[in-house]
Amino acid sequence: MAMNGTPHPLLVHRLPQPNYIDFVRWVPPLSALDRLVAAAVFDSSSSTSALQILSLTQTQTQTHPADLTLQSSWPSPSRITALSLSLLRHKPLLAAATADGSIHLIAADPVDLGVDSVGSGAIHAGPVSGIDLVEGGSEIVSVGDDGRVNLVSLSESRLSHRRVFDGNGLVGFAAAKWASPAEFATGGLGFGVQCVDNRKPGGPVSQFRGNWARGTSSGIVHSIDIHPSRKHTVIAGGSSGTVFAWDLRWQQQPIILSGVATGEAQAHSPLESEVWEVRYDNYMHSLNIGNISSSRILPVMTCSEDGILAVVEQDEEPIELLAEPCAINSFDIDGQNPSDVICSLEWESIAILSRP
Amino acid sequence: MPDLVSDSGQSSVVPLSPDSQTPVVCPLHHGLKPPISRLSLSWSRGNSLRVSVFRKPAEDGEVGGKVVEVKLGDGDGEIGDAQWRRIAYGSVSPFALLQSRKNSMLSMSRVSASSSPYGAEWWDYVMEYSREINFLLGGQKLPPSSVIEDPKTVLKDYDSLLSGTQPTVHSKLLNFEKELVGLQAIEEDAKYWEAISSALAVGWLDIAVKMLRLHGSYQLDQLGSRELENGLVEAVAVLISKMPRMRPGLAPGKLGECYKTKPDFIKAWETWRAQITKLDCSAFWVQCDHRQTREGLKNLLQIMLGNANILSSATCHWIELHISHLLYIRPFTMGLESMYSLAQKCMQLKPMSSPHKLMRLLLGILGENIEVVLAECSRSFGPWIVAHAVELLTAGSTQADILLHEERYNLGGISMEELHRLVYAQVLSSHALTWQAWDLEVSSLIRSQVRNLIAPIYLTSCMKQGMGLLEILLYKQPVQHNKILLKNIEICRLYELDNVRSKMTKIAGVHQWKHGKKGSGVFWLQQARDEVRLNRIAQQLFDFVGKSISDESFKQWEGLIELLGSETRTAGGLEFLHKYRDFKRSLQQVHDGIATAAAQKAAESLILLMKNPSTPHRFWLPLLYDSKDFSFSLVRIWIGELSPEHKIVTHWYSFAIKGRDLSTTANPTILDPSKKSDPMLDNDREVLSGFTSPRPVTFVRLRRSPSCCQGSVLSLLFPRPSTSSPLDNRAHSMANTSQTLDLEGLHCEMHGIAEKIRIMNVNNVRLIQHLTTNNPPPPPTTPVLDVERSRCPQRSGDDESQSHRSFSDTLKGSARSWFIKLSPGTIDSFGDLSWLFVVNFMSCKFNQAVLEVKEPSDEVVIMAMMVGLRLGPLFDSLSKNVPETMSTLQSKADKYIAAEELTEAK
Repeated sequence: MAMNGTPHPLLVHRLPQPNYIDFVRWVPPLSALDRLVAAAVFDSSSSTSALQILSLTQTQTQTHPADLTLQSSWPSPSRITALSLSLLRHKPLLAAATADGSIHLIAADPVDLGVDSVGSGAIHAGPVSGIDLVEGGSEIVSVGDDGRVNLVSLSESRLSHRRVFDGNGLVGFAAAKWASPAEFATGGLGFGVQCVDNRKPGGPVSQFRGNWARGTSSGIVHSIDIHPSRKHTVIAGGSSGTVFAWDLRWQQQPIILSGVATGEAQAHSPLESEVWEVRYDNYMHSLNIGNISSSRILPVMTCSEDGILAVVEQDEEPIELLAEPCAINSFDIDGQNPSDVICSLEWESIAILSRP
Repeated sequence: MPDLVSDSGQSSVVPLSPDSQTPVVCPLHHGLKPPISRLSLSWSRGNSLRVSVFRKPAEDGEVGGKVVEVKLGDGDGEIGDAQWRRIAYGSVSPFALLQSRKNSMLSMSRVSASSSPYGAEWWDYVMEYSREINFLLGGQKLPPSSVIEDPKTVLKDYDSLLSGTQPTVHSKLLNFEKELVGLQAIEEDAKYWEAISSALAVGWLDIAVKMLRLHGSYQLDQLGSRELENGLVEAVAVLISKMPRMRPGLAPGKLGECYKTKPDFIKAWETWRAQITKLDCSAFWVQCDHRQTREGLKNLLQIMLGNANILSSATCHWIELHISHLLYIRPFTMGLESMYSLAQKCMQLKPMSSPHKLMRLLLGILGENIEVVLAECSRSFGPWIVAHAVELLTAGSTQADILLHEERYNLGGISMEELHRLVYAQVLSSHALTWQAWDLEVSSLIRSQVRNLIAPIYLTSCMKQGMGLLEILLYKQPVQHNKILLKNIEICRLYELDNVRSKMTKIAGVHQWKHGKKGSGVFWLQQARDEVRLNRIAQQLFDFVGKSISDESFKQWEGLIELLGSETRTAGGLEFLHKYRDFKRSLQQVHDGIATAAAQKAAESLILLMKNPSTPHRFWLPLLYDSKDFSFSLVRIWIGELSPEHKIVTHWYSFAIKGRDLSTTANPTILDPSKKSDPMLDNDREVLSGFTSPRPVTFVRLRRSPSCCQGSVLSLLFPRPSTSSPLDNRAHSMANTSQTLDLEGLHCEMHGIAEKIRIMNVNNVRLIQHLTTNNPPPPPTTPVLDVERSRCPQRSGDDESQSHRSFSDTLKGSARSWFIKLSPGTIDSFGDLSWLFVVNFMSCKFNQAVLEVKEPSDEVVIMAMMVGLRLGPLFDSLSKNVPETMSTLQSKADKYIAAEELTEAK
């Protein structure tokens, strides 16, 4: 069941949940024994949303499945549409953006695992579609369908924001990611990717327009990621199984990792549908990253609407880790232990993978 | 049913029941901010209440109301929503697997032309499916093996299944278990023997044997004195544990001897019964002096021998009796033969007070009545079970197969199987939707997709109506949120519903557009390849052509052009728009006062624009209007580069521009008076004289000099026509009527005559002289002037008067008389004059003006007429249906004139 085309034995636990899971993230462990997971849940019977901290008790045997226990919960006023996490002074800090346009900063207590809002504010007019917390800080970049890009910061338990860009509805963003404390990238409609340096006013420093002109082959970037050691490259995942890398040094020519969106004949791609999330996969490559040429794209993990969790690499066949009958809506690679991957499935369950 | 009363302050619904002392408060999450002003209740499906919560109409932008469904559960055997969803999700894969296997088997059988589509293989598949579904429902929760050893385990499932109120064997055992602790000599108690016989009657052999071994005679201190008694108890216990069973195996801890084949079983059964009879008839009983033990054991033997009366007294529920009959009286029963009549007999003996819903189902199954089974399934357990049970019902039953797969007229030509799947799919997808239509909050719209995504799997297994319903369900899905939309589009992709996909994206596009998200609007419309709407958007963009717009809206306009891309298929004018945008940009730079290079660029863009065949002819004038602030010399460049047909439109206009340019002579710092002799100025005259010639006159190609590109300061000196002037109206109406003025034919026609014109041009001067000398005297007409005349004193100058003179020379007829009639001092400059001329002859007395141009092409005339026409009924009519010939235009115009006069006369 767990062996979906992978050459190695892979341990998969599927844990049914009582709620729909919108997002799932590993929380860096607060103590040596804990394994914590943050999940943005939605209860469809009561139409309520919450951010939950779950603790994972995991055994390494297939017969005895892992279990998730609810530790604490923070009720969200509206459905959570984006979730980001960072460590601020060794304490996990979560940023949750909601469908009504508000953003909430939530701190997890290391002692009793309780979660509490440390600041919130109504930032966007419509749903916030992408959010990212800067590493080791509380500065947030948020983007929305409305084409606005905001920098949100915490001041005395209130979130204040500064508008970096307003597309006036002409652009729609779906993803944002910090590259450094001063630069970030956004992605959205029309496979567009923009790089913004917030020290330089007046719009994006550079932008990639995708292929607006090709009409139906165009799509939306749902998720982007930037590797801390490769800040010149943005990877983006979006419609029609498209995963591409955009190197700022060669802006005209994106490197297609998967998908048919740009018209180039791709031999075989397991991804055909929306790619909901992309993330650099640092498993297996954590040791020798220095040896890899900086023009080569590091492996990228993706999850998609057609239920595939895969690792795509440049010029190589993608490795399928999981093939589910339902969509995989989000996933996260454990920062401490990159062999472990957690993902949320459409049919109200969480899957936990342990790679050999 | 408890009344529900609102407690608006607490935002909760409180059920109050008159007979209960303490009302149960159930908080209801509706997510609305207080205060709640009104609450309305109604029944929904099943035992659900629909609660509509309303707020006061508020100005704070909050949602005005919500509808919440409250399920009234009694907590008895009902499963929660989350559990239900888990079952729904879990059953998808087995179902889909079975369906795909079925399909492949069907296609295989078609190939091999075998008589039966389903073989033994199919049976295996169905069993596998059954196991998976069973596992999903909670699986094999085995009853506790020993009541005695683990008193805490209870057969809860068993109990609630049979009855909550009536006694059962299990409850009997449980009651006895409670008393057990207080009993000294257990074998003296009648209840002990009753409990054993009940357990034995329903076949709980292990329990019966364990209880027998609690008998006092097993006590070490009594064993010596009660040897015979103990021997009898042990003999019965051994007989019980040796009971032959016809089954492949038993769970560990279970008693009985297993036999796999019927002959073996029959043989063993006969031997076993013989042993019982032998024991029953033995002489030992007489010697046994413990009455209760003797009678109790005898009773047990009777049960094993199948004494109907004793079985009946040992059991409580009819099902228990039924089971005991099967165990001891009819051990060889195969299948369901005569089970139904037995069940009815048992029910007569043990009538039920309140039958559990499963009982009716059980009876249906025993009676092999598929219809009853289905009806009971759907009545008591909902569509899920029916949708999933069909395969189990039909496997191995031809009758059921026919019944369920037969196409029924009264069901609209679909089979019962399909009907039930359709119902289930609808429940899956519309469950949340039907009542959430009011819910405007985006977040809760997302939720409807949760169940929706599994519905297609059931729908696609329906042969006839499935896809149709799927389409309908997809159409009902909200499109506001990109994520749901994309998920639904994915369904379309999977099931190849391209038309649904394009419609959904179309709706999404329009929705986003209307909500100000123009970017996503255009994106979705492009995804839908909705040329019509994209064209319409492009047309809206054309409205901007020739108008001065604010920076903000120019940005928006620019962005939209960017969004629309340069797809040639989408609105032929997009290419034009792109060029126009470039032109506008450089024009703006000129306005901002940036260098001559920008002006040069602007001029080049303008030339490109005018020369490009993709530029709709109707935009020539607006384009010129845009560049009116330019130096005329600049315009001359493009005039020189243009093909003749352009000039039909542009030559009137060029007067305006030229006029201004000429008036610059008043400012010697800008134009040197020495330019008088400049050949360029001579050319200007040519432009002038060309105006009245019957055919447009081409101008000598000019060399391009940078000095020509100086921005005109004259626009500052020269007063712009007032905003209320018909000229502005004209520019506006032109943009609106867009396509109606498209003169594609003109282009071709003009190409042919271009050559002639070139020859004409050589003899230009002579021709003009000829024309002017042969003009008849002007008729006494007095055209109406719409423009308020400037009363500035006339400036005199050689150039000016010269141009006036040459200008008037070029006129004939009413035009000339109009010019002559202009009182001195009316015209400020040549610019004014040309404006007035344009305005006058465009806005009125069109006919005469036309007559005064010799041999005009019909299209040109019609176009000019349209340009000059004021907004009104005639204009509306003409723009709807552009006349092809002059005569049709004439007759149409006449009709409208007559109508207008009639209205005025009234």
